Amino acid sequence: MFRYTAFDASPWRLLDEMMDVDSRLNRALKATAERATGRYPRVNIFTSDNGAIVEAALPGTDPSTVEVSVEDQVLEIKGRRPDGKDSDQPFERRFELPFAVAEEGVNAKYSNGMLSINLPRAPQRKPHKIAVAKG
Amino acid sequence: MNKNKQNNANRPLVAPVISVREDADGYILRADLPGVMQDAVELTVEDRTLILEAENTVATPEGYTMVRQEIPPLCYHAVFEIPERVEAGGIQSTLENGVLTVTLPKREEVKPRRISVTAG
Repeated sequence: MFRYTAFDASPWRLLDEMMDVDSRLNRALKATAERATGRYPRVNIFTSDNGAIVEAALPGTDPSTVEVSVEDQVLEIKGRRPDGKDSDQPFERRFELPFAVAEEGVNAKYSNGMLSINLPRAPQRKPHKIAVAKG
Repeated sequence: MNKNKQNNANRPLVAPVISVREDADGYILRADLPGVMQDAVELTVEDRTLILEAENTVATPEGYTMVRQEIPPLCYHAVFEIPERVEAGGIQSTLENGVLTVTLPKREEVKPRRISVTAG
């Protein structure tokens, strides 16, 4: 890598210079991070008989700017991705759920940069017995 | 080292998404660390090197089964060379909403300063 003594004002040059310390390892790590940025936000999804919990990684986000909606069996998460500069990028992801959701019971909380969305399952239509009359 | 930092060896090493900007007072480094608790971050200054290590918490809520995993347990790792013009003793950091902000103040003598002009 090109070495310079005078310090360059560009943050990217600074980052490059800083990264140079352990550059081989850091290059590999950077590539991993870049591959992983294709989908945003990344999520973990958990289900139970009672419903689903979707945990989305949204670091540095004002939770009031995130739009969470459920329609039919589709969960949608929309917002803007902060990048530490002025050019926030819009994001949007949809997930199909394996069951209908009780929409009035949906709630979300934000902590440590993770948005946790609780999606209770809609009460299932009870199977009803049909009396069979004797012929 | 602490309760939230364990089975380090099993976790893949990943570089966090990082941005760096500079102002008159110093450099501000931001690293995205979603799902990382404060006691699971370790920031070390050794000579002119700043080492960041952090582990996220991934826990399946009780009674639930994980059906999709895009966020595995990770060990975030990054190494930075601290520029000569930074006062290493003044480095500070905060973790808020899954973002670690590290401020690296410039040494007084390299900060821009206004020189007052007096009438001759």
